[in-house]
Amino acid sequence: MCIITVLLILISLMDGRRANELRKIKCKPSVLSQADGSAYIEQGNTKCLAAVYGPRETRQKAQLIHNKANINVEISLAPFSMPQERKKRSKSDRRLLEIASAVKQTFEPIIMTNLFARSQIDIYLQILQFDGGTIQICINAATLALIDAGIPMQEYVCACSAGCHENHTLLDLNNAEEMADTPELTVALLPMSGKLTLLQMDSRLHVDKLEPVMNLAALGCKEIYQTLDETVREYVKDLFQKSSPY
Amino acid sequence: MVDRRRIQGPEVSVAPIIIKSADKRTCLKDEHSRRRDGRNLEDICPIFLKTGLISQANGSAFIEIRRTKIACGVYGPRQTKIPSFSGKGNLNVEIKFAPFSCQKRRQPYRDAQEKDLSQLVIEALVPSIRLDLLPKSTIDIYITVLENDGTASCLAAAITCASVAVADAGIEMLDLVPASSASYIGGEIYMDSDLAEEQHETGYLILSYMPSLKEVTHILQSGDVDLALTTQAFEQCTDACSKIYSVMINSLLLPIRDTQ
Amino acid sequence: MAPVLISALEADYILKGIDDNLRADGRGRLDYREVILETGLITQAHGSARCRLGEGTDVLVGVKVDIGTVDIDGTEEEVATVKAKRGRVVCNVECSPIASQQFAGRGADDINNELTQMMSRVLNGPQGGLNLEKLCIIPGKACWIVYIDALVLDYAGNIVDTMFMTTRAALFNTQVPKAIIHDLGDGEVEFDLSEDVEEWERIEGWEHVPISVTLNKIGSRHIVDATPLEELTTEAKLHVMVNRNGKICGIQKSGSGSIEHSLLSEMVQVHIFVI
Repeated sequence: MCIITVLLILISLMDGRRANELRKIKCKPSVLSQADGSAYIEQGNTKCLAAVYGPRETRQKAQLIHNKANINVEISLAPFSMPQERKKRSKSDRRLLEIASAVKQTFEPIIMTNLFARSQIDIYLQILQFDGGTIQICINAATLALIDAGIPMQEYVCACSAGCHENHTLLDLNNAEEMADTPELTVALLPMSGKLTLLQMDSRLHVDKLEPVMNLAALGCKEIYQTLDETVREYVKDLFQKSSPY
Repeated sequence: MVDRRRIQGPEVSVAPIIIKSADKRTCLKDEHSRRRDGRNLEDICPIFLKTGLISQANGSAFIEIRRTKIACGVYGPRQTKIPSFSGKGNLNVEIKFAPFSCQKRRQPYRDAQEKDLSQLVIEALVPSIRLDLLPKSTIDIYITVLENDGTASCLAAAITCASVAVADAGIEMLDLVPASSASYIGGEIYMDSDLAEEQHETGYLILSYMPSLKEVTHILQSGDVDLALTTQAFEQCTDACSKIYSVMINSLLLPIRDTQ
Repeated sequence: MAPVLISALEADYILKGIDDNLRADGRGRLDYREVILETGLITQAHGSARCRLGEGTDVLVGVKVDIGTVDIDGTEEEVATVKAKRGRVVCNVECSPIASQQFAGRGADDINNELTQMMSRVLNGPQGGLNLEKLCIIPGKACWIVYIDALVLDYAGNIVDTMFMTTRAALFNTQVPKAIIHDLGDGEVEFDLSEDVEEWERIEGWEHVPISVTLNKIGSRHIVDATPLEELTTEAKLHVMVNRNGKICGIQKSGSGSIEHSLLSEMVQVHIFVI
């Protein structure tokens, strides 16, 4: 029995969490000077920076959509971000392109793109350190950056992953747990209406397990929503105090 | 190509460490401080410079210094395809080392070093060319290094050659840009060093300078050097540039004299 | 978004201000912005540092060390002998699109290449300061390769200076695992990496790594630590790399303008003063 299995059976994850516990989240909106909106988010050891530019006139004619805004997502991975040896990834790396398109599809129905015809919104994501859960952190960071940029959205989008290992459902997998062949389900949820905008799973999971895993992921999403919402409210309050003269 | 399936070498191989006796160390200068080719430390090499070798280009030049051979063609000014909002013209430089130009074979496509050198040549030439008279136009300069005898002196020769080619194309300029190089070896300054000397250098200086305006268009120095030595190398390079300048003017005047 | 063009009036305002030794943010000509330096942020890297200039420019440098084979590229035997006993430094600079819209897509390729080459020119060679011989594990066979990756996260002028400052800090922060060498006899040597995380070595010579000072020539004056607007007014830039002994480790001009002969010598002198 491998060491991970032993740990999992003890229902205490490798970093000392319980099975239904999220990793520690740290987030901060408005961290960059040049972008229209930006955010920094840390979930455990995964760290991500997001920047939003726009909405503005489309640069390339081919990307122009005449009745709504086009959303453009680009993800880059720092060469020193992986736990293994240094690896330089080009921007056209297939894995990154796939994540970028997942993020794009998640936000397309949520952002009110019909308000900005013939324009484009750019979301740039920079992963500084990688420890599992790339898609979820990208979506959470993008949500915060979009809010910071003041782009109208229907509501928050929060993403969280959950997995299943030997009958135990686990929340928010880190890299080591992902590597141990745990089936992982990533869910992006609109916490207020309870709708799903993204559902992604690789490897197989028994159909009986699907529901508990999905419920757990949804719970995680709601918890992340609380954290994000608190951060935003705190930040706005702070801004308000700074801008009022007294 | 060796068939690896048949000849199975050991998995790990170690390159032999060649131990050489100290007295066999290559001497870069003799007791009269003359270099291997008979020059003094502060002397530069004779230069062969000729314009108008490439008939298809608007302007062209060929330079030969020792074994360094560089051909340069200038095309344009032509209309910029996608003009950006700017009142100035564009300068586009591409340096290419021929695959056979160095001791190790160069790849036929442009590598990172060539792109960087191209950028350096642009920065050296732009101040001398009246790009403000050519809005919405592009000048293309293609430099091919046929043989490389020391990278620093090669870059200096490329700048000199490109500047003459631009003048040959009849593009308005403020001045010609001669460039010269110096190597720091053992606390001394070797002007215009060759490949063998370059292997022993602790640093180098490349200077391009417009003599009639007394302005430096580009400077690049690398190495751990004192300020005093840098200043000295700087003065020597300025002098060398003035010498190269007269060669450049002669090469431009020669074809005109011939037609007369 | 960082401005790409500057109006003639605004350029004139900056120019006149610099003549009077007063800049838009209240600094004099030779004043730096506040420097905030942090080390050890990225746990996955062997060393890391992040540096911010004021509230703007932000550069993150991660250093990873890896075992590789020695690079015997020198054609002369003499040079090869020296190289066989040395480790290597590989530099890479990336401007992230989050720093500025200009860096999106392929937009950053040129500047990435320019900065990467500049950094490798300074750090490879005797002026780099690092003791490369200490990075060699088994001569002629294995050595440490130090990968230095700089990531520009936010752009508000003066990337080059920030980049070199951060690199120096990241190299100070770098922990190279200890290699234990076993002699198997017959000249055969093998090595293991120490299992103990606490056992590590600092890269020797980090304190000699040069830093850069960029002087921007605006009109007939020069300033340090330019903001993006000031950079647009700049005719020519001069980067001078200096180490702690006050020795010059590199000079490079960039930008489209030219520098008067006399001014150049003066600018180089100023560097020593600033540092």
